[in-house]
Amino acid sequence: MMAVDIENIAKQMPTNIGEWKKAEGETYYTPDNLFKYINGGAELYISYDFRKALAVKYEKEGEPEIAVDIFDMGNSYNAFGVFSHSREKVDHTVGNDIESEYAGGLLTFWKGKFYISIMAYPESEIRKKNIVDLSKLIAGYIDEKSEKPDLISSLPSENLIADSIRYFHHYIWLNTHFYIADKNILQIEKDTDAVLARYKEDSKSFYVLMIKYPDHTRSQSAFISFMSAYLPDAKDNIKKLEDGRWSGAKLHEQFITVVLNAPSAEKIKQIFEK
Amino acid sequence: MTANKTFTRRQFIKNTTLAAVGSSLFIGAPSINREAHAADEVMSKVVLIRNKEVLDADGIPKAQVVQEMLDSAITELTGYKSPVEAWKSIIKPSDIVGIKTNVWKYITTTSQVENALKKRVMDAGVPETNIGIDDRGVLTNPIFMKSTALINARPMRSHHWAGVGTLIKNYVMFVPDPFNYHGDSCADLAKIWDLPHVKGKTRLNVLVMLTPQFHGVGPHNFNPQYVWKYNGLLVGFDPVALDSTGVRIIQAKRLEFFGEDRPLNPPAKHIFIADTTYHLGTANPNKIKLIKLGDESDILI
Repeated sequence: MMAVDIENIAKQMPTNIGEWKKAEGETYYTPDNLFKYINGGAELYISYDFRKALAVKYEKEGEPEIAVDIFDMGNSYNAFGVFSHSREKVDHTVGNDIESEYAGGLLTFWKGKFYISIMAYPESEIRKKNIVDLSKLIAGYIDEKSEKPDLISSLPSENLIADSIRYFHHYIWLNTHFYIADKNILQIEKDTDAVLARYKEDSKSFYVLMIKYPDHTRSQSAFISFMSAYLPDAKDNIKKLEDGRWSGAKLHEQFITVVLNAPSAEKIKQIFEK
Repeated sequence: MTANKTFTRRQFIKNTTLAAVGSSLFIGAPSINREAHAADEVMSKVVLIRNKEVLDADGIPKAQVVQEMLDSAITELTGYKSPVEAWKSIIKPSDIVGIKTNVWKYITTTSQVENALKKRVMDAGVPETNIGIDDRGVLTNPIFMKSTALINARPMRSHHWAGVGTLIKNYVMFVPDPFNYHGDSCADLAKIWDLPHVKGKTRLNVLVMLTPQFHGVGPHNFNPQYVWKYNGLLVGFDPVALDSTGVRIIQAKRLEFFGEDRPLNPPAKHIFIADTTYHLGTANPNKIKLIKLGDESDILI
């Protein structure tokens, strides 16, 4: 299977979609100038090892444009990571084997190493149809496997909310979904894989965070940092916090598992044993 | 304004003096004794007006309804019976007035709000030639360059760097180097309000809450599923009090939508630093007199 590049996708983009015509010229962005296009949002993509983006517009007089943004994230793990950062509920608008989310005029999905966003806002029936048609075409140009990070398969499956799984390499994205601290106390860096998932038991949520460090020295250092900043008074690395919920952490070789907001110490021990 | 001490969720949980809803706004902000402050300072008046009829079927504001909402808000705010009287109390005919707007393409201040403000500035006796409406060009706009009065109007939305886009942040275009204010979650934005060409000129602030955005994801930090029709305007003299009130509504909406208290990231600390460090106004809900007019359904505050 030959890997497709973003220029190749650009060449295949249709000249029109419904009554919307492709605007003259497509624009490419790299990590050096992405901020000019998505002022303020570039950091998200760069933290996921973003390589190159393609922006294409489709226009029709008197109508909102259809804006297509295709991001080459280097590999499918990171394409999934960017998608997982923003989706709340996965649908399969683009295809049965493609994870996507459509809401209100914005469709996002990932396939292979690409993360794709198509927006026509405000929403209308015809614009929605055009978005979906275009997404299927683009998905057809990408002939790569969509593989998720291995770490995800280590998450406990019982009571897991599948659409809540986030994958990232920057502590700021952890804070977006579960605020831990204003500093990087878990030492999550670009070479660190992290997954966060939400669980629901008896109508209450708790979280499991699993982090894979490059080596044991790094995981040990992060573990000490986390325990001293967050759970300095924990017994056996598990502690009932002031809100009545339990948190705990476990260091194992190059991995750290943190359970947050759990209903009991037993629940945390149960997860650690697995 | 970067604090060296690490602020964790754990410390936040421990701080039992903070109310559950909206309390996470204070994450990352300097510790202040808000109860004590409340006793010895005057209240900031904030008018929240809402009208279910303000947006048409396409979500476009109706000019007449916007005008009525602004008129009701300013008469309530000033205590004058007529909106023109109220405007005359804050704008002189000799003023040169810049209406600082916001043109972010997905959620703008809206021309309806801009025109409603402009109309009442003209009713206060200011010739049209002495009124400017601008956002990114304020530093080179001749009206703004010689302005004696400013009206500040912008929508509230979640924001990559600042947590939320606020009235305080709307003045970042009054500096040639906005990027130098992005550090530490835009903590020091209120400093701009002390610059000579800005200081003391602002006569009115309008935080547009017609269709706020409570969560910003997607390539352009815009996602329609996180924009809702709140149909409101927050009007007042104190930009910090207005922003503080607006962000409580945003946080309440997040709680309602996500089903759990998911704090803004980054935290909107610049609002609280505007209060505690720059004394631009008050962020403390205990020192804000919130007056609610119009529709109270799903008001979230």
